[in-house]
Amino acid sequence: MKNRKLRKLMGLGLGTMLALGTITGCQGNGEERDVAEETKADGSAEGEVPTLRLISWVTSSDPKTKPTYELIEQFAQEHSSEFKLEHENILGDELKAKIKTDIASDTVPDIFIYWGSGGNSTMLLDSDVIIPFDEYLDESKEIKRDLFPEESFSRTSSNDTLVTITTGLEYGVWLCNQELFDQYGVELPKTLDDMLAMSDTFNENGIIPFAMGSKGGNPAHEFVAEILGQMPDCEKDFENLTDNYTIDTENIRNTLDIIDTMRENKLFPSDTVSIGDWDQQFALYNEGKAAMIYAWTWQIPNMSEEMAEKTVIIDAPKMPGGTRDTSNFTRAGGDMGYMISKSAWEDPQKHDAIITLMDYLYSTDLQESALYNGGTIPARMDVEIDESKVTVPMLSEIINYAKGKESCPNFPQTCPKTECWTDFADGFDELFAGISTPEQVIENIDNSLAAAKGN
Amino acid sequence: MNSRKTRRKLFSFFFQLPSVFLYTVFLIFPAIASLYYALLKWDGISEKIFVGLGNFSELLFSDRYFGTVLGNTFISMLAGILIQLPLALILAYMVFRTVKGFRFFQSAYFVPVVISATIIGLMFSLFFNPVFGPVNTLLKDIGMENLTQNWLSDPKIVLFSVILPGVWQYLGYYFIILLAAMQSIPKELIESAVIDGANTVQIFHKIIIPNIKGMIQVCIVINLTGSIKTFDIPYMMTQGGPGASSTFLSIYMYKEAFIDSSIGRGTAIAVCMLLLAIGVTVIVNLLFAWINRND
Repeated sequence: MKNRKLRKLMGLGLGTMLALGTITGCQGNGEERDVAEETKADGSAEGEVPTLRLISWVTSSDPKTKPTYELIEQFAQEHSSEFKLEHENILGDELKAKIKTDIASDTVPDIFIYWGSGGNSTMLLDSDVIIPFDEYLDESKEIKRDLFPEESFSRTSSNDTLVTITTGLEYGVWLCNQELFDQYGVELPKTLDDMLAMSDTFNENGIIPFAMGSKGGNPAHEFVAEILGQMPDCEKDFENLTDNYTIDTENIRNTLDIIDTMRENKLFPSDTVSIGDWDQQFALYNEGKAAMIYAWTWQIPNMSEEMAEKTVIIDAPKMPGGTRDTSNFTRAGGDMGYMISKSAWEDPQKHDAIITLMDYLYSTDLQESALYNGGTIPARMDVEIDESKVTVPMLSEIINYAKGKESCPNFPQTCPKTECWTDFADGFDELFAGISTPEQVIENIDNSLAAAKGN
Repeated sequence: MNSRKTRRKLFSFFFQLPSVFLYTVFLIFPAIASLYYALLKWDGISEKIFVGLGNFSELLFSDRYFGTVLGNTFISMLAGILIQLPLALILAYMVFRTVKGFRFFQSAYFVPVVISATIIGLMFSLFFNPVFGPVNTLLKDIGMENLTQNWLSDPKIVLFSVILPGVWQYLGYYFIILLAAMQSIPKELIESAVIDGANTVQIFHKIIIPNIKGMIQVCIVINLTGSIKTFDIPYMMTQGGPGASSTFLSIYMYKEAFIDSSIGRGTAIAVCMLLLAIGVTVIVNLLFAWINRND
């Protein structure tokens, strides 16, 4: 009898503990944060210091970005009387999902790196998630528009409203493995015909003539834009996409036909999905398995010293129907910049702290650190590049080759609605894999654009 | 007496309260919220527009890929039922009858289950890489060059290339469940069958299968519902491409909701997944109830 009572008592106690544990467990973090926020290291009250949540691609785990990460941490330490920094890293396309989830749950970070291109940023701006970047520039005493190249603004604007400024410039260049060309007695290509002519020689010797793939549209979409960029008045094709929601133009048809011809003539690897995405495509070239590549400067830090010694930059081979002087044509890119949450900007406690942190994120200190440690080309024009300090092979050479040349937009930048991008990506995947014809790709993307226009 | 009963009821209710609370907040409520979101046209940011069953009718009648995606998901479910489970059952029985090396085989088959699916996806991407990958290289080296394939970009093959790693990885999971079920069968049953002259196949057919029928039913349900949720390995390998050739319902849901920002359509796909999971579970349970009645 006694035992039964004891068991009941113990059960009751355990149940109470469970219930209390559940309730207090849910509240635990909040309480800890309150205490942490209220107490400084020296024990004094810190009620006025706001916490800024920053999402960036500058991580402490990557040796190329670690020094820059440490500079940001140090800056935050030095300004701990103004704000407390919570620095998070979400890399690659996962950032899109993260930001969208944060928006849906009303936990948008105060400052976050994001794609400034209209296809990505329009909905953030239209829905008042972020502020027009000029609001920040107007109040900042250190960062002004004229520090950055005017032509980069079109890549980080939504319907003529600047949403961010890119933190780094990027260039797309054609690279050839000179050693392989010499070994097989092939001339560096100057036209599409030259490229097609070299295809047999390289394929017969187990070398992929041109490293290119398409997985989720990468890196194919940049290559499609590169070919389109050679066509007459191609800017109108991009404008037509943004304004009239169609890619059914003569230039785009011609571009996709050229790519289909390249595929048919086995210039690309046979399995373009396996070789798709940036890393796999670049690895193919870097390992000496491909003779040529169209690469972007964010891939160059992955190039080995050995490959850099064998590599030469060439002018883009001329494509049929192209009218551009390719010796003065290198597409420039870079649309990743820091965006400011509107609700944080309107919070009087955070407002000044945001300006302070943003000024530092666009400072020459960080631009130089990103260049010399990670190979990111500075967006600021007042950064003098000391070539002796550039550790990434070939980067100085590429900058000197590409700087100041003509460029043209890309598809993510001009795609009018975010919801259409998957159809672009799928279309390019199918085209490169040879399971859709250029006509089918245009038809499918146009159907998607038409549906989006109606929404 | 009555007050004692009431006290007991209250007592058990008190114990159930925390789990009921958590279950409601984290499972029931999100499921109901999903039903609501599936009826909206919403990008997660802008104003929500009520469209009724519009998202569902769009998916079923005018979506270019949904039919293919649904078909791919069914093929994945069939692969689980027709290849993975029978293999797991046979392997479990072989190990069950093994005297030497029982523990080794038990661990060896289970090891892939504990490896991250992301790693498995990456690993198989490399296996199937046409330039660096060992699959095509091996085929070339043994003079079977005509069998080399574009494993991840040929729409006729890619679906099987992304299903295979999942079949391999989770084989050990079902193996271990079925092996445990076999071990719970009284030894006397098997010993008496052996004495009566039953061979290995007869023991398997007449003793093992009837005794682990319940567990087989559980495995089938887990396998089917797991196939409906297949995401990580195919996403790592192909992102569902080319086109929708290797897209399953969960990948399509992710692309719609998080890449295209169509939360309404994405949630509608999630609801379809839920309905499909409930449907197959009910069918399997009815099927086994019928089998049990006729035994």
